[in-house]
Amino acid sequence: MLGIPLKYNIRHLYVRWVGTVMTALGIALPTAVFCAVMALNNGLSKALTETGDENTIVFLRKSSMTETNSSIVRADAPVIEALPGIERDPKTSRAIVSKEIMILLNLNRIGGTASNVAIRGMSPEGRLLRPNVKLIEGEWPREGLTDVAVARNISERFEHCKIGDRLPLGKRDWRVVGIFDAGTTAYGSEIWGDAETLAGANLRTDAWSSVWVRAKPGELKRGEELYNSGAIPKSIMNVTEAADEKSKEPEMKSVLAAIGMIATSRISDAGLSLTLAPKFDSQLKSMEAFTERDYFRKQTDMGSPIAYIGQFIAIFMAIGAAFAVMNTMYAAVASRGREIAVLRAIGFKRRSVMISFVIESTILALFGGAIGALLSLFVNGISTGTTNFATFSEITFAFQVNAQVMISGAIFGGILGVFGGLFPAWRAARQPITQAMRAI
Amino acid sequence: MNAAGLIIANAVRNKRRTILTILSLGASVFLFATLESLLQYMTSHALDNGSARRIVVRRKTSLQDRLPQSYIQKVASVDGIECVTPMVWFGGIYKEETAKNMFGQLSCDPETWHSVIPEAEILDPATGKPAPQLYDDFRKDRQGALAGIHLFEKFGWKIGDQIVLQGKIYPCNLTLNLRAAYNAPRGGTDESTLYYHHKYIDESLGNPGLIGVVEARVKNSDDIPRLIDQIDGGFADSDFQTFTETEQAFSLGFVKMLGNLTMLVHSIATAVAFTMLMVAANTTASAARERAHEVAVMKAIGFAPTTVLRYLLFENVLVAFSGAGLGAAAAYFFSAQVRAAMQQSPMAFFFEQYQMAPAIAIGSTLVGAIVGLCAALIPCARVAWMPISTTLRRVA
Repeated sequence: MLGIPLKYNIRHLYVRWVGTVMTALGIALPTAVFCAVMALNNGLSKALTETGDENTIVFLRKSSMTETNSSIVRADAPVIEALPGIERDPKTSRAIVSKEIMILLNLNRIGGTASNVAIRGMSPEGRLLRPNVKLIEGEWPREGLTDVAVARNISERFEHCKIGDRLPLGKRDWRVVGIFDAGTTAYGSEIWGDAETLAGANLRTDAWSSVWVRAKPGELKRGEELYNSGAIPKSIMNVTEAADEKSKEPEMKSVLAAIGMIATSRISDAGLSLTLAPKFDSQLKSMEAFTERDYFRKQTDMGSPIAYIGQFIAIFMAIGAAFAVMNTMYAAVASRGREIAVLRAIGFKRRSVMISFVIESTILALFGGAIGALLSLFVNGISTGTTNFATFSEITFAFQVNAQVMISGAIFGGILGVFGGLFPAWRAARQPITQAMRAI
Repeated sequence: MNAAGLIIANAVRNKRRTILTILSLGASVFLFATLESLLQYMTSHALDNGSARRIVVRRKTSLQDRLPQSYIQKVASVDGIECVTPMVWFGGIYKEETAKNMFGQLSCDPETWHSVIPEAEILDPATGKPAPQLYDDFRKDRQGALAGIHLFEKFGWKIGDQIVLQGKIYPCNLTLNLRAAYNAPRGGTDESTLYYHHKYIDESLGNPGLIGVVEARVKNSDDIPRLIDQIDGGFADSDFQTFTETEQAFSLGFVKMLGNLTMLVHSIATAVAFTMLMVAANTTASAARERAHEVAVMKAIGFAPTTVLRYLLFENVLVAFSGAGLGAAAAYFFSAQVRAAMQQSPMAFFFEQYQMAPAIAIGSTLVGAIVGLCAALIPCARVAWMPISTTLRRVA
């Protein structure tokens, strides 16, 4: 079967260029919005999912889910610190453990409304746990001083956050001494200071929010293997009160470190959070452990309404645009009744006519989609922020238009073209030849 | 045939095109209206559910931090304050952790709650009739709960039911007996909050004596600026500094926390409106082109170009208006479905009782009609002023 040359369609689009451009723009705008929303979602989930090391483990109070909600009584922290399997700092040979406190401070956005910004107080080891966070200006806050370092995104968007500024927190003002860059991670929306001093200033000296540790590289694997081999009873992974685990207790004790560290992606993927059986130290029982990556990933599920609203918008804009494409293509078919009849008369099959028109509409839509994808580049890199209601604090992120977003955008446009073109093409193909020839 | 007849006949002469245009504009206006309405609802809901007679005292750093309970008495004794209740946001999980099951869970002092929030009327959810006597049942039961009528309807609760809220922020669970329902027929407070005894949570936590906020009703709303200064000033040198604002400002604060998200949604709505413009202009252009020949004939028999233009514009506005009206009406009547959809999102909490305001539906229809008019101006004017001789000589 011989197809109608592509040239035929392209020249037609060129001849009625005003209509082509208008329709293409009608597709370009929804595509641009679609791309922008995807880029936003991209940036947001990147902020939450790209934060994370498999060997960095955070301990929280059971079922608190976020550091903002969590509290670990100070007396319980040594239980975690005493776990074997914690990496040591080669310089100081101290265990890499950071007892941290998360404080929210209500600050004004520059020229805008107020929001809560998370202030993380940490032990000196805290920075060893986040090696990717780099100081770009000033210095790190020192232990015991009322100094803080601010993430660049926060510094640019909030009042009182430039070097030398003073943050009103409690009775004393806090001096901003450094600006750090945390890439696209969640730490990029925080202010860092010394845990003990911040806890004192905020009158929260009874409990930490979380305890972070760095596990030795092998621990996680060991825990995983033990779990898979069945050495760790399944019951331990749930709140279940396992009655007859007594016999297994010694080996369970021996893998405590691994269990304490476990919180592997495997376990959290299965939707189980690690909860130790009652016969283990009661302190650990009241805690939950997550790998850094899982911890931040969980917040994506709870925190972001953007993907959701984005889908809603994309669907309705797509419906509107598809009808518009249909209109254009019907008009194209109507104005070319005779031509189509001629094509049929000289031997082109119905199917060829139909395919030809669907192709034309798809080319038109892909053209629009491409313009839309290019338009979305304008928002690329713009950083913005909103409140993550899971943590009740500000999260900053940037629109990230990447190749994947743009290609999806163009495809989105193309799909509109296929759908918008189908019915008109069908009509073109079904047109009776004689009647169309006779029409003026 | 009179002018109106001509306009209508012309509008529907190409039925498929008219229907497609209407559907296309309808989908866009549906989206436009819904987005604008969701934004508007968040703000107006926050304002409706706050009283100008109430102030909220929280710790200055942020809502996350607690105040000592001695502040209840300290705020109550400030001259100009009528009555106060402490509140603690429990934020627990009801049944399972989904956005749909999230609702406000606040502690209160049952002795003063009703004086602080007199807008609320106590109801029997079974009959929907006022039942003030039920408040006593709530007051007397340490584990009693008083919940907005909306929650009773949403979860199918009955008086006497027992529910468990699993603590997320606090390391305890609350087991509550539903004792009474309330509504707010004249606005002033939210109908989807559950209140429980402050003493109950304090005991469950081992009496730490901490509270989230103090909510106070003032004797005279003119005093509020003075009261704010007096309260915050009084605690300025204490370890726990406070931040006081009106209840309306407090509620609005949550919406404002969304920050740029609001602006983004506005921008998207604008992009939607521009898309409508393109679509409408394109359709009009092709319709007007087809019409060139007969416009020339009309002008030849004596119609002025302005008259012709008026007819053409009327026709386009009529189509745009129908499309926009359809979209806006759909957005209005499907508010419940939009609400149900939003209930699945993490924003559920903001849209518990979402309903589009009629003004938004009307406004969006007008926006659609105006867009239709703007889109039609150039193509229609071109056709209307096209020289008769050129047009008539041209073979279609």
